[in-house]
Amino acid sequence: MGDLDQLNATGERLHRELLGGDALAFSKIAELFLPPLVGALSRKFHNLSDPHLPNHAVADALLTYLAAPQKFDPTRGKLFTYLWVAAHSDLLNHIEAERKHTSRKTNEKVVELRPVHAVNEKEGEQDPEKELLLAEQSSLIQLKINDIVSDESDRKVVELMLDGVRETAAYAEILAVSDKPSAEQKALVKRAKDRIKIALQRGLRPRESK
Amino acid sequence: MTMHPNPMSGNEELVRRLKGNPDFVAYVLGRYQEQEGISDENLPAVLGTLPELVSRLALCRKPDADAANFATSVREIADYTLVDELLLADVIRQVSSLEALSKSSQHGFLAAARDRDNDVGPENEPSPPTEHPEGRK
Repeated sequence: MGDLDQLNATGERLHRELLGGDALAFSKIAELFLPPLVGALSRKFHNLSDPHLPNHAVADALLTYLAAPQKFDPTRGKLFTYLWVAAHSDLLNHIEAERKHTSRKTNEKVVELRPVHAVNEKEGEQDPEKELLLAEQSSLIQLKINDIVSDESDRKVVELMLDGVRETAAYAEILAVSDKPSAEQKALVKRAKDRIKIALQRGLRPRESK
Repeated sequence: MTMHPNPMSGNEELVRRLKGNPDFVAYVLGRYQEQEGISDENLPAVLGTLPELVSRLALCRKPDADAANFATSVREIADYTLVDELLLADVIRQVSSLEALSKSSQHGFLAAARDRDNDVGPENEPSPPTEHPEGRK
Protein backbone atom coordinates (compact mmCIF):
# COMPACT_ATOMS: atom_id res chain seq x y z
CA MET A 1 0.00 0.00 0.00
CA GLY A 2 1.44 3.40 -0.98
CA ASP A 3 1.74 6.38 1.35
CA LEU A 4 -1.24 8.06 -0.23
CA ASP A 5 -3.42 4.97 0.04
CA GLN A 6 -2.34 4.55 3.60
CA LEU A 7 -3.24 8.13 4.46
CA ASN A 8 -6.62 7.80 2.79
CA ALA A 9 -7.19 4.57 4.72
CA THR A 10 -6.28 6.46 7.90
CA GLY A 11 -8.86 9.09 6.97
CA GLU A 12 -11.53 6.43 6.57
CA ARG A 13 -10.61 4.81 9.89
CA LEU A 14 -10.71 8.15 11.68
CA HIS A 15 -14.10 8.88 10.13
CA ARG A 16 -15.43 5.62 11.57
CA GLU A 17 -13.92 6.52 14.95
CA LEU A 18 -15.56 9.94 14.85
CA LEU A 19 -18.93 8.34 14.14
CA GLY A 20 -18.31 6.00 17.05
CA GLY A 21 -17.83 8.96 19.41
CA ASP A 22 -14.06 8.65 19.81
CA ALA A 23 -12.73 11.64 21.78
CA LEU A 24 -9.52 11.96 19.74
CA ALA A 25 -10.93 11.42 16.25
CA PHE A 26 -11.69 15.01 15.26
CA SER A 27 -8.36 16.24 16.55
CA LYS A 28 -6.59 13.60 14.48
CA ILE A 29 -8.66 14.37 11.37
CA ALA A 30 -7.90 18.09 11.68
CA GLU A 31 -4.21 17.42 12.17
CA LEU A 32 -4.06 15.03 9.24
CA PHE A 33 -6.04 17.03 6.70
CA LEU A 34 -5.96 20.71 7.66
CA PRO A 35 -2.33 21.52 6.76
CA PRO A 36 -2.37 19.83 3.32
CA LEU A 37 -5.77 21.30 2.47
CA VAL A 38 -4.71 24.82 3.46
CA GLY A 39 -1.41 24.34 1.63
CA ALA A 40 -3.11 23.13 -1.54
CA LEU A 41 -5.71 25.91 -1.53
CA SER A 42 -3.07 28.56 -0.85
CA ARG A 43 -1.06 27.33 -3.81
CA LYS A 44 -4.05 27.10 -6.10
CA PHE A 45 -5.39 30.56 -5.19
CA HIS A 46 -2.12 32.37 -4.84
CA ASN A 47 -3.13 36.02 -5.08
CA LEU A 48 -5.99 36.29 -2.64
CA SER A 49 -6.85 39.61 -1.03
CA ASP A 50 -6.68 37.91 2.36
CA PRO A 51 -4.10 35.12 2.74
CA HIS A 52 -6.11 33.64 5.61
CA LEU A 53 -9.05 32.79 3.35
CA PRO A 54 -7.87 29.21 2.64
CA ASN A 55 -7.62 28.64 6.38
CA HIS A 56 -11.18 29.94 6.93
CA ALA A 57 -12.46 27.78 4.08
CA VAL A 58 -10.82 24.62 5.44
CA ALA A 59 -11.99 25.38 8.99
CA ASP A 60 -15.52 25.82 7.60
CA ALA A 61 -15.26 22.52 5.73
CA LEU A 62 -14.03 20.66 8.81
CA LEU A 63 -16.68 22.16 11.09
CA THR A 64 -19.45 21.43 8.58
CA TYR A 65 -18.20 17.85 8.39
CA LEU A 66 -18.05 17.68 12.19
CA ALA A 67 -21.65 18.89 12.47
CA ALA A 68 -22.90 16.05 10.24
CA PRO A 69 -20.18 13.43 9.65
CA GLN A 70 -22.75 10.89 8.50
CA LYS A 71 -23.21 12.94 5.32
CA PHE A 72 -19.81 11.74 4.15
CA ASP A 73 -20.17 8.36 2.47
CA PRO A 74 -16.79 6.54 2.36
CA THR A 75 -18.09 4.21 -0.34
CA ARG A 76 -18.42 7.17 -2.70
CA GLY A 77 -15.08 8.85 -2.15
CA LYS A 78 -12.23 9.76 0.13
CA LEU A 79 -12.51 12.05 3.11
CA PHE A 80 -9.70 14.25 1.82
CA THR A 81 -11.56 14.79 -1.47
CA TYR A 82 -14.82 15.43 0.38
CA LEU A 83 -13.19 18.15 2.50
CA TRP A 84 -11.29 19.50 -0.49
CA VAL A 85 -14.48 19.94 -2.53
CA ALA A 86 -16.22 21.67 0.38
CA ALA A 87 -13.31 24.04 1.12
CA HIS A 88 -12.67 24.71 -2.57
CA SER A 89 -16.33 25.61 -3.27
CA ASP A 90 -16.44 27.79 -0.18
CA LEU A 91 -13.39 29.68 -1.29
CA LEU A 92 -14.67 30.05 -4.88
CA ASN A 93 -17.96 31.42 -3.56
CA HIS A 94 -16.08 33.89 -1.44
CA ILE A 95 -13.92 35.01 -4.35
CA GLU A 96 -16.97 35.32 -6.59
CA ALA A 97 -18.77 37.44 -3.99
CA GLU A 98 -15.70 39.62 -3.66
CA ARG A 99 -15.44 39.93 -7.44
CA LYS A 100 -19.10 41.03 -7.71
CA HIS A 101 -18.53 43.54 -4.96
CA THR A 102 -15.49 44.97 -6.72
CA SER A 103 -17.34 44.96 -10.04
CA ARG A 104 -20.20 46.97 -8.53
CA LYS A 105 -17.78 49.44 -7.05
CA THR A 106 -16.07 50.07 -10.36
CA ASN A 107 -19.07 49.90 -12.69
CA GLU A 108 -18.69 53.50 -13.79
CA LYS A 109 -15.49 52.45 -15.45
CA VAL A 110 -15.78 49.44 -17.71
CA VAL A 111 -13.40 46.84 -16.44
CA GLU A 112 -13.24 43.48 -18.02
CA LEU A 113 -12.97 41.03 -15.22
CA ARG A 114 -11.45 37.71 -15.90
CA PRO A 115 -13.29 34.69 -14.58
CA VAL A 116 -12.57 33.63 -11.03
CA HIS A 117 -10.60 30.59 -12.11
CA ALA A 118 -8.38 32.56 -14.45
CA VAL A 119 -7.64 35.23 -11.88
CA ASN A 120 -6.80 32.99 -9.02
CA GLU A 121 -5.83 29.56 -10.11
CA LYS A 122 -2.27 28.70 -10.83
CA GLU A 123 -1.62 26.88 -14.01
CA GLY A 124 -0.28 23.39 -13.81
CA GLU A 125 -1.47 23.06 -10.27
CA GLN A 126 -0.49 20.07 -8.23
CA ASP A 127 -2.81 17.26 -7.40
CA PRO A 128 -4.10 18.33 -3.97
CA GLU A 129 -3.75 14.78 -2.73
CA LYS A 130 0.01 15.09 -3.17
CA GLU A 131 -0.17 17.63 -0.38
CA LEU A 132 -1.01 14.83 1.96
CA LEU A 133 2.49 13.54 1.56
CA LEU A 134 3.93 16.88 2.61
CA ALA A 135 2.14 16.55 5.92
CA GLU A 136 4.14 13.43 6.57
CA GLN A 137 7.30 15.37 7.20
CA SER A 138 9.14 14.68 10.38
CA SER A 139 7.19 16.15 13.20
CA LEU A 140 8.30 19.37 14.80
CA ILE A 141 6.74 18.16 18.01
CA GLN A 142 8.80 15.01 18.01
CA LEU A 143 11.94 17.08 17.47
CA LYS A 144 11.13 19.30 20.45
CA ILE A 145 10.48 16.24 22.57
CA ASN A 146 13.69 14.58 21.51
CA ASP A 147 15.51 17.59 22.96
CA ILE A 148 14.15 16.66 26.36
CA VAL A 149 13.78 12.90 26.19
CA SER A 150 17.10 11.27 25.40
CA ASP A 151 16.32 7.61 26.08
CA GLU A 152 15.54 5.79 22.83
CA SER A 153 12.79 3.57 24.24
CA ASP A 154 11.18 6.55 26.00
CA ARG A 155 11.17 8.36 22.67
CA LYS A 156 9.39 5.41 21.09
CA VAL A 157 6.85 5.43 23.91
CA VAL A 158 6.22 9.15 23.29
CA GLU A 159 5.82 8.44 19.58
CA LEU A 160 3.13 5.86 20.30
CA MET A 161 1.38 8.23 22.71
CA LEU A 162 1.38 11.00 20.12
CA ASP A 163 0.00 8.56 17.56
CA GLY A 164 -2.90 7.88 19.92
CA VAL A 165 -1.98 4.22 20.38
CA ARG A 166 -3.97 2.80 23.27
CA GLU A 167 -3.02 -0.87 23.37
CA THR A 168 -0.80 -1.77 26.30
CA ALA A 169 0.89 -4.50 24.26
CA ALA A 170 2.57 -1.99 21.94
CA TYR A 171 4.11 -0.14 24.89
CA ALA A 172 4.94 -3.32 26.74
CA GLU A 173 6.99 -4.49 23.79
CA ILE A 174 9.08 -1.32 23.73
CA LEU A 175 9.56 -1.44 27.49
CA ALA A 176 10.46 -5.13 27.26
CA VAL A 177 7.79 -6.18 29.75
CA SER A 178 5.64 -8.27 27.40
CA ASP A 179 6.42 -11.40 29.42
CA LYS A 180 4.85 -9.97 32.59
CA PRO A 181 1.23 -10.68 33.58
CA SER A 182 -1.29 -8.35 31.94
CA ALA A 183 -2.07 -6.32 35.08
CA GLU A 184 1.62 -5.79 35.78
CA GLN A 185 2.22 -4.75 32.17
CA LYS A 186 -0.52 -2.16 32.47
CA ALA A 187 0.93 -0.79 35.69
CA LEU A 188 4.46 -0.65 34.28
CA VAL A 189 3.29 1.05 31.09
CA LYS A 190 1.34 3.60 33.07
CA ARG A 191 4.32 4.26 35.30
CA ALA A 192 6.57 4.78 32.27
CA LYS A 193 4.09 7.16 30.64
CA ASP A 194 3.73 9.18 33.85
CA ARG A 195 7.49 9.31 34.31
CA ILE A 196 7.96 10.60 30.76
CA LYS A 197 5.24 13.22 31.19
CA ILE A 198 6.88 14.49 34.38
CA ALA A 199 10.26 14.64 32.62
CA LEU A 200 8.65 16.60 29.78
CA GLN A 201 6.96 19.01 32.16
CA ARG A 202 10.29 19.63 33.88
CA GLY A 203 12.07 20.00 30.55
CA LEU A 204 9.50 22.45 29.24
CA ARG A 205 9.47 24.57 32.38
CA PRO A 206 11.27 27.84 31.70
CA ARG A 207 14.59 27.96 33.50
CA GLU A 208 14.58 30.41 36.37
CA SER A 209 17.19 33.12 36.08
CA LYS A 210 19.52 33.42 39.00
CA MET B 1 8.80 27.56 -3.95
CA THR B 2 7.57 24.46 -2.25
CA MET B 3 5.84 25.24 0.97
CA HIS B 4 6.13 22.71 3.73
CA PRO B 5 3.26 23.44 6.05
CA ASN B 6 3.79 23.05 9.75
CA PRO B 7 1.76 19.96 10.70
CA MET B 8 -0.01 21.97 13.40
CA SER B 9 -0.36 25.25 11.54
CA GLY B 10 -3.79 26.66 10.96
CA ASN B 11 -5.44 24.84 13.85
CA GLU B 12 -5.77 28.10 15.76
CA GLU B 13 -8.87 29.14 13.86
CA LEU B 14 -10.53 25.78 14.47
CA VAL B 15 -9.65 26.01 18.16
CA ARG B 16 -11.04 29.54 18.35
CA ARG B 17 -14.29 28.49 16.71
CA LEU B 18 -14.66 25.39 18.88
CA LYS B 19 -14.30 27.51 22.03
CA GLY B 20 -18.04 28.09 21.70
CA ASN B 21 -18.84 24.38 21.49
CA PRO B 22 -19.31 22.81 24.95
CA ASP B 23 -18.67 19.34 23.49
CA PHE B 24 -15.00 20.17 22.94
CA VAL B 25 -11.99 20.61 25.20
CA ALA B 26 -11.42 24.00 23.48
CA TYR B 27 -14.49 25.22 25.35
CA VAL B 28 -13.25 23.79 28.68
CA LEU B 29 -9.83 25.40 28.25
CA GLY B 30 -11.39 28.76 27.37
CA ARG B 31 -13.59 28.66 30.48
CA TYR B 32 -10.68 27.49 32.63
CA GLN B 33 -8.54 30.37 31.38
CA GLU B 34 -11.32 32.81 32.25
CA GLN B 35 -11.81 31.30 35.69
CA GLU B 36 -8.11 31.24 36.51
CA GLY B 37 -6.98 34.31 34.57
CA ILE B 38 -4.55 32.37 32.38
CA SER B 39 -3.36 33.89 29.11
CA ASP B 40 -3.06 31.89 25.88
CA GLU B 41 0.70 32.25 26.12
CA ASN B 42 0.83 30.76 29.61
CA LEU B 43 -1.59 27.92 29.01
CA PRO B 44 0.99 25.40 27.71
CA ALA B 45 3.16 26.02 30.78
CA VAL B 46 0.19 25.59 33.10
CA LEU B 47 -0.72 22.32 31.37
CA GLY B 48 2.93 21.27 31.22
CA THR B 49 2.92 20.55 27.51
CA LEU B 50 3.95 22.01 24.15
CA PRO B 51 1.84 24.79 22.58
CA GLU B 52 1.23 22.55 19.54
CA LEU B 53 -0.19 19.89 21.81
CA VAL B 54 -2.52 22.39 23.48
CA SER B 55 -4.17 22.91 20.07
CA ARG B 56 -4.38 19.16 19.69
CA LEU B 57 -5.94 18.90 23.14
CA ALA B 58 -8.45 21.65 22.37
CA LEU B 59 -9.69 19.75 19.32
CA CYS B 60 -10.53 16.64 21.35
CA ARG B 61 -14.09 15.91 22.34
CA LYS B 62 -14.72 16.74 25.97
CA PRO B 63 -15.25 13.70 28.19
CA ASP B 64 -18.44 13.83 30.22
CA ALA B 65 -17.44 14.37 33.86
CA ASP B 66 -20.45 12.29 34.98
CA ALA B 67 -19.90 9.39 32.58
CA ALA B 68 -18.66 6.01 33.75
CA ASN B 69 -15.79 6.07 31.26
CA PHE B 70 -14.62 9.57 32.26
CA ALA B 71 -11.28 8.39 33.68
CA THR B 72 -10.52 6.26 30.60
CA SER B 73 -11.36 9.06 28.19
CA VAL B 74 -9.27 11.55 30.17
CA ARG B 75 -6.33 9.13 30.20
CA GLU B 76 -6.55 8.65 26.42
CA ILE B 77 -6.63 12.38 25.78
CA ALA B 78 -3.87 13.04 28.33
CA ASP B 79 -1.61 10.46 26.71
CA TYR B 80 -2.31 11.82 23.23
CA THR B 81 -1.37 15.33 24.32
CA LEU B 82 1.28 14.45 26.94
CA VAL B 83 -0.70 16.23 29.65
CA ASP B 84 -0.91 14.98 33.21
CA GLU B 85 -4.20 13.09 33.43
CA LEU B 86 -5.00 14.19 36.97
CA LEU B 87 -4.53 17.81 36.02
CA LEU B 88 -6.72 17.39 32.94
CA ALA B 89 -9.42 15.65 34.97
CA ASP B 90 -9.29 18.47 37.53
CA VAL B 91 -9.61 21.12 34.83
CA ILE B 92 -12.63 19.43 33.26
CA ARG B 93 -14.27 18.82 36.64
CA GLN B 94 -13.64 22.38 37.80
CA VAL B 95 -15.19 23.88 34.68
CA SER B 96 -18.13 21.45 34.76
CA SER B 97 -18.88 22.04 38.44
CA LEU B 98 -18.59 25.81 38.24
CA GLU B 99 -20.89 25.80 35.22
CA ALA B 100 -23.38 23.54 37.00
CA LEU B 101 -23.20 25.80 40.05
CA SER B 102 -23.72 28.89 37.95
CA LYS B 103 -26.68 27.25 36.19
CA SER B 104 -28.26 26.13 39.44
CA SER B 105 -27.80 29.51 41.09
CA GLN B 106 -29.26 31.13 38.00
CA HIS B 107 -32.12 28.63 38.19
CA GLY B 108 -32.53 29.38 41.91
CA PHE B 109 -32.58 33.08 41.23
CA LEU B 110 -35.21 32.65 38.53
CA ALA B 111 -37.28 30.37 40.79
CA ALA B 112 -37.07 32.93 43.59
CA ALA B 113 -38.11 35.65 41.17
CA ARG B 114 -41.06 33.50 40.05
CA ASP B 115 -42.07 32.83 43.67
CA ARG B 116 -41.90 36.50 44.43
CA ASP B 117 -44.08 37.26 41.39
CA ASN B 118 -46.60 34.60 42.47
CA ASP B 119 -46.75 36.08 45.97
CA VAL B 120 -47.73 39.38 44.53
CA GLY B 121 -51.47 38.95 44.11
CA PRO B 122 -53.69 41.60 42.55
CA GLU B 123 -54.35 43.07 45.97
CA ASN B 124 -50.65 43.15 46.68
CA GLU B 125 -49.65 44.44 43.32
CA PRO B 126 -47.60 47.51 43.52
CA SER B 127 -49.76 50.45 42.71
CA PRO B 128 -48.92 52.26 39.52
CA PRO B 129 -46.86 55.33 40.04
CA THR B 130 -49.07 58.11 41.29
CA GLU B 131 -49.54 60.66 38.68
CA HIS B 132 -48.15 63.93 39.60
CA PRO B 133 -51.02 66.36 39.77
CA GLU B 134 -49.04 68.75 37.72
CA GLY B 135 -48.37 66.17 35.08
CA ARG B 136 -45.06 65.57 33.51
CA LYS B 137 -42.69 68.29 33.13
